[in-house]
Amino acid sequence: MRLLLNKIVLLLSTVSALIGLAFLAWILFTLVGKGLSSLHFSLFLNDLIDGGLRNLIVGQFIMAGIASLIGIPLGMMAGIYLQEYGSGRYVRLIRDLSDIMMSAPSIVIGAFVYAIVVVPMHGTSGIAGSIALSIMMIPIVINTTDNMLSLVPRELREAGIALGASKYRVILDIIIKAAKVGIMTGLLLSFARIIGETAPLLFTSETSNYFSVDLTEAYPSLTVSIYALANDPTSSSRDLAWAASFILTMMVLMINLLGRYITRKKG
Amino acid sequence: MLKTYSNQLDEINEKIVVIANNILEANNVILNGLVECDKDLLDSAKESLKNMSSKTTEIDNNIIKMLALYSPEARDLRLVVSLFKITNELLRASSNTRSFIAGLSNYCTELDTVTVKDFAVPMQKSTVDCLITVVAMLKTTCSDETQELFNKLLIGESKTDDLYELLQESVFKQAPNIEDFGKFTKILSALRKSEKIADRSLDVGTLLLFARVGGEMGVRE
Amino acid sequence: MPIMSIEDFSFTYASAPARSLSNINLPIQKNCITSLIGPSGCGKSTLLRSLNRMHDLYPNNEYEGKLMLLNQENNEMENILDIKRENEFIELRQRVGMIFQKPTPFPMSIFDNVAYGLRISGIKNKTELKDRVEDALKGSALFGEVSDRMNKSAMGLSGGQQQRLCIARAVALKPELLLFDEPTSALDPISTAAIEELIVELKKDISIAIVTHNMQQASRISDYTAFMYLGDLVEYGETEQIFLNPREKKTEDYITGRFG
Repeated sequence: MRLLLNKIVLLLSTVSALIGLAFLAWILFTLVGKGLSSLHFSLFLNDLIDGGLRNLIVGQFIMAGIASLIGIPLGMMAGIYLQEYGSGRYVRLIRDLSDIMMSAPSIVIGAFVYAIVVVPMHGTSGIAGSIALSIMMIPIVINTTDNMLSLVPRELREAGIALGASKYRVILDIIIKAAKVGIMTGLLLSFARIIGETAPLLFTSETSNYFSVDLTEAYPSLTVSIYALANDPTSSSRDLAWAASFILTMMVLMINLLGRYITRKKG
Repeated sequence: MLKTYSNQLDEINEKIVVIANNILEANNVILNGLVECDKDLLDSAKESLKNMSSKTTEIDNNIIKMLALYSPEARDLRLVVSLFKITNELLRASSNTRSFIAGLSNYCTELDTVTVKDFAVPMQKSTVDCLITVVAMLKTTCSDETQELFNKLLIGESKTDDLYELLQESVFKQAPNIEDFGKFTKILSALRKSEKIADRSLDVGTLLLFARVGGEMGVRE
Repeated sequence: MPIMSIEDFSFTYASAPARSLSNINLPIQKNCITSLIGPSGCGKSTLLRSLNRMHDLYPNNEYEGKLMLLNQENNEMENILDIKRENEFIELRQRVGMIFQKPTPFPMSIFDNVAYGLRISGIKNKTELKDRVEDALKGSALFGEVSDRMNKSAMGLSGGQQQRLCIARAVALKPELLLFDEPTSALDPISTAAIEELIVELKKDISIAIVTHNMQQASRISDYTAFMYLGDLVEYGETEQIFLNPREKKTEDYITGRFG
């Protein structure tokens, strides 16, 4: 009887896995199919105003980059605090809040930043977009840093203290170095996450057809533009949307693979 | 093995070698005394055997301390336990030597030169050879050499046994009548000590064979 | 004069219902090896870690009594429980070093590992660092094995080598007292023997306290032995006396394996 049950469960799990994989394959297949056919070199040389994607790609990276400049230091310092300095109830509270923030709907974060940045600035901007992305990034970085530091054995800290080092030196010289690989991978993955976000940017940076480095104005964004292009009735816009989706997917995939490569090499 | 442990082991071994040498010396002097039939020379042999008991007790205490502190295993354990038993055997050999001296001093002039020259002296010489072999066995750490020396010891001890038997016959022939029989029994019992010393040497050799080569411990009766 | 004198010392962990150590009185003799033995949970590691105030890493632990450390300059004993300032803690830990059960090499080169404590104490001169690192490695019987790869990561060393590296790291600071917390329980017998020989060598210059689960280790290398049970010091004396003629029945029962 148990043997039969075993076989049934095995069958069901395999079938579910195959269904999931099938959908994934289907998505990729469609993406590659539709995207590749619209892909050509000029997309990387022209801005949206001329039918290319250059300003959108650059804009997305710049906003994600600024978000990282804000999010990574804040997130890491908070993570270090949680693991190394905090104690008791306080720590548990902050960890729980951080976890909740990680699952906050991205559109809500977008709305929040609209209220506190876009309204006072009387308009959308790249700054608002970067801030929204950084708010999404911080809980992920806190979580990664906290977890990676917790994997460092207690004895390593004690060994540093036993040599007369003060706590902050032990953290900087030893602990972070010991957790270096895990933290770097986590940071890379959090970057990959925010670079693919759309909702936080919808009302905060919107998008732009032109190449721009002026972050005080509406700022070009690949993800928001995919949304806009997909809704446009013209078939050339639709094709452009497919090409953009393909490029976006490849970007995120590359960053993820880079993260894995680093882990395998140094781990 | 910790350096201090192996040093201490060497120290104990050396102390035992010293005792064995003392016994060897005493028996050498006895040998010379027999050849010259010199009573004073025989008495002087006792010098080498002074304080034997306290020396062996000191070694025993050192060995107990080693067992308590170092929990030796395998070859080390066999060696330490053998040395522990060897001190007893050497103490007995020393006491045999003393009795030998005491017994001989009174009666050596009674024996005729033939008996002394043909049997007693060679017997004691064989005993001395056994003792020399034992000292060599105590000093070597090589198990092949130990085996070789042990074989030599076996031969030496059985030679002593044979010579004693011949000596016994010779002495009995000399006993003229039943009244003197008691006196000659005493003479024989004194000379027998030499044979006993050779026995003790073989026992020490057997223990060293167990220590360095292995097998089971067995001191023969 | 002992290098350290533990006087009526008691210790309670934060929010623990009962004391982990009760009224311990114990000297640590200079240039000798003192071992702490006893069954699991008897408090020997707790006691050892008090001697360099390691418990202060975690809040709300309670101390009672005195831990007197000899000040070699004026020959007076000072209570290390009075230490409150950061720089005094640092000074204490450079005078009283600790080696842990699990070898803990830092994720840096072999040279940087040994130089770590030296740099913290302010030594920057490259020649001085190099000399002291070399001396420490020679003193830990490791120099010969690593002299050609001082700049490679310490993580590539074997377990026994890593532990000797930790010893070199501590010895580089020229401490007065070294605390070993079961230093060989994670190592194979040959590495264990090497470390034991090293510890016996070290006692010429440094006083040593060692916690060990392995009674034979205590009997092999220590000059004095303290037997602890359930937070109490049951018996203390010269190792020879403890292992040959213990005074207390509990001590004898433990040593002969009747319990624990």
